[in-house]
Amino acid sequence: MTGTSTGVFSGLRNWLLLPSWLVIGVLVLSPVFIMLVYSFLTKEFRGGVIWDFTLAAYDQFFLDRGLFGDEPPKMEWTYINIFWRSIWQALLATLLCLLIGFPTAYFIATRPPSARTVWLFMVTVPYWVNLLIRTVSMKFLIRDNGPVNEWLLATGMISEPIHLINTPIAVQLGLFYSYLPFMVLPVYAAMERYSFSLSEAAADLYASKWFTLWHIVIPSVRPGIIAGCILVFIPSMGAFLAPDLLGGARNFMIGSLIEEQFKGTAGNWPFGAAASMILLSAVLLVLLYYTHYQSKTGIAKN
Amino acid sequence: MTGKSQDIRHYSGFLPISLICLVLLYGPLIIVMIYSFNDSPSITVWGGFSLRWYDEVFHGLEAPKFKKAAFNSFTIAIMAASTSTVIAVCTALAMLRCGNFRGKAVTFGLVSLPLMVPEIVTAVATLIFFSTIGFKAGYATILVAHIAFCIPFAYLPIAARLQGIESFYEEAAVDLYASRLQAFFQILMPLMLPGIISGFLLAFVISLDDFIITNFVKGAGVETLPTAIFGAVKQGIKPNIMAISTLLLMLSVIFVTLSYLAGKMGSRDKG
Amino acid sequence: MADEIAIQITQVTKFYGSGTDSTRALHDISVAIRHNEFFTLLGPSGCGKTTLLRIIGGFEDFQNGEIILHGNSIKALPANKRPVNTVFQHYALFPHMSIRDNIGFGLKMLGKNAAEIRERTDEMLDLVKLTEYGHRRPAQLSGGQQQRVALARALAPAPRVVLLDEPLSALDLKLRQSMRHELRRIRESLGMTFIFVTHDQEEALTMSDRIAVMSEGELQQVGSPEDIYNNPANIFVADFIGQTNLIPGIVKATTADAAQCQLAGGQSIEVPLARQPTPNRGDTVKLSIRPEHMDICQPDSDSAQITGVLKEQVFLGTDMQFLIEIDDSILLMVRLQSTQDSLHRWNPGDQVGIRVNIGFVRLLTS
Repeated sequence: MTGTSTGVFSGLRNWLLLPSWLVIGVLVLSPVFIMLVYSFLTKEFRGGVIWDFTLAAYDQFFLDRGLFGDEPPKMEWTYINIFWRSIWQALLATLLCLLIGFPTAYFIATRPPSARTVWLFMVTVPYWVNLLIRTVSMKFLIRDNGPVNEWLLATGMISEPIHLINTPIAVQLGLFYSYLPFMVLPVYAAMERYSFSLSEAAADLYASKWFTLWHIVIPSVRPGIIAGCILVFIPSMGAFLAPDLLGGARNFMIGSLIEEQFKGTAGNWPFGAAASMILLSAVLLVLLYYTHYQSKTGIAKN
Repeated sequence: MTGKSQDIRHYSGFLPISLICLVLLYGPLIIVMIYSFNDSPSITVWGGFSLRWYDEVFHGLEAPKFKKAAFNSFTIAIMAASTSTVIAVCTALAMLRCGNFRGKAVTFGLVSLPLMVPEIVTAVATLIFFSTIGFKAGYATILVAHIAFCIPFAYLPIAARLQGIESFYEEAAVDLYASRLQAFFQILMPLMLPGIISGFLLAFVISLDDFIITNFVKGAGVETLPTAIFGAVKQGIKPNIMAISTLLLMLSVIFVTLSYLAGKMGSRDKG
Repeated sequence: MADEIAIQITQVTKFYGSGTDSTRALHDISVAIRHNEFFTLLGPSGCGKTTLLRIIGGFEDFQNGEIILHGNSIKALPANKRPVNTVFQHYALFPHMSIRDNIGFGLKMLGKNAAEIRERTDEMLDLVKLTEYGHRRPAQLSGGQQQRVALARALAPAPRVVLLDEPLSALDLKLRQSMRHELRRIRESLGMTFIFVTHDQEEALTMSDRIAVMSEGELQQVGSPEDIYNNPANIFVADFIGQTNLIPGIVKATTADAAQCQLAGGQSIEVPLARQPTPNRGDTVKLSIRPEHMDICQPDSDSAQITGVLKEQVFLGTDMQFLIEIDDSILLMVRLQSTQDSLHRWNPGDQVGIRVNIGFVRLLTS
């Protein structure tokens, strides 16, 4: 009944909404629109734009017209490959996070309440720690002469340092490490609402444990799993720190590509804006699928 | 239940995976913390316990640079978190206490947009926006960008808390002749306080930690702690960086503990 | 003075939503509540009683109609300007304030000075017998004590009308019964108008001066507890208040003071019309006969007005309940006090006669 009654603050609604509309409208919505416009402008060499509308930025992303731009257009694979690598790395990171995150969330949900709080607290703390510091820590740890290699060498398990830094594996490790808490928390939230009497009912009806896990538990917590996957996938896709600090120049992801367009004089703002728009579109597609999934399964927002 | 294997909720292998999860999350951080107390200037050889790198952070050659960066970081974080918390409280009141209205879903989408869009896209858009309107990059641009970015982080815990408070409290206040302002400040706000505190702390940490957006909109010469650390890391990981990292890390732990305690205070008050 | 009207509600109608998918919450409600009256809104959940109370309190809008409080329209007044206070269903005590501060809140908002607030708060604590608890927090009190604080808080500003929204529903049975007394005592000592919402008919019957029975957003009947119980205006009221047998029948003949009715199954009974409207000949009616208004006798005795077959008897403690089949599908429920000697004279399967206290039989057409 509360939903339809006249709230005490109802009369102030528009005033209460004004600040967020203003701030989000001016500082988020209009910038995205201007960015869209920029992606159709001509670049200026000192880092900036000339107000001439052109498709050059998108052309540069997808098509190769030779060094002087006079050859017949072919597919330009450089940027598409970077984009593809971003998707691939993000998918892999999502999968890894799920493989570690789901059992962890499940395990936490089956602890007694007091232990549960401690576990949750432990998983939450890294989420609050500066991402930069965490990435730097990872870089420090896996360097050629970092503690991991030193230790492995000292114990005689390896004779040569394992070269990880500046490889795709290092980037993957960084992404996985950065966003793991994003997987555990929503899956846990869904697990917490799961009624274990369903598992008991399945066992009572002769289902094996792993059958129960796959056919009863996972379908029940699927909304949490999907939310976790999206929370890992989207920031992984646009990640900048992990590829930049752990991957080096040869493991560019789209985040690094975009960043490069706005740094110094080598930049190309329209191209950077176009790449951002392409990334944004990919993300919006994922979110669209998500809201479609939500409305299809009738899962409430909370 | 006679034993673990009888417990149908128990899957062998999930405990080791959970422990691996914790080791992965904490291992790198703990090792950096340990090495920040390393006396040896070579960052990988252990040379005994020392606080020399902490001394260098505060009194060394680069100390003024980091102190300036820390000052910028903290002042921006306080202002951005306060502003976004106020905006988030207003928005939460409108979203949860004003019935259904057209544009409610759109507003929720808008408010959570910065959470959904990759940060680098927000950063690019904000940079282009400031450049278009001719807003000179620097301290002010960082602050303004942080306010917008922090709103969803402040909003979520505040809205969650408000959702748990039945609307009969403010109705009772108004029934007892309180004006809407009195009903808010004397009744609803004290009840929302745990959510407001955790919203503020979350926004504060998000602002303090932000690298990508800050890096885009800061302009030349103005640094925050993350951008200063990033700049230094590009020259190689030196022990003083590990000391600063450890300090920031401890700060985050303090904040998460505070926010946790705020939440606990809330659940105790609810009864 | 006694008949002065405290609240005059005229043709209040409320819809939720708009256009084609709107739902009707209240339809054309008109009722006058007297000053100093204990007035109860009674009905099943969803009947609109709480909505009506919230409209009086100022927490809900309504589309049509008027509400006059002691001669002045309060339709346009916001809740904080109405001299009406509410005891909320879940008390809504402010958890971060002491009991004293809770009780004094309304006076503080009215701008009373500290001494006056202190004095009145003491008085209220005394009234609800919680003098020693003033410095505690609500969470430190039991449910019944919280309930009394909620009442004291609503009474403190001395409103013209107190609204009570199912205030006893969260209490256990014993506490609920003693709180009924308490509420009546307090109201009588203060002389205020109480409007009380409940779905519990026993509560309504024992406490109220008058009851308004509501169903599906409409007012069914307004009257004293006895009136409502003994002279239900329609089938809904008869069925909702207490237990009754509703037997289908047809009016065969009417005289000035009685109607001859044929029950389904063919038996006839004569019903006096002294306290009810005269039906038309040929009307299909339901005869409402309460289980306690019947007695069992030998089927061939002169006093047997109806006969049937005893199907089942159930021991209920103070009463014994008999189910008697008077036709293929019609079971009549009869209740006798268990102290009667004759209780065990009949066995299931026996043919029995039923003596009806026909002065209490109602003929209901809707």
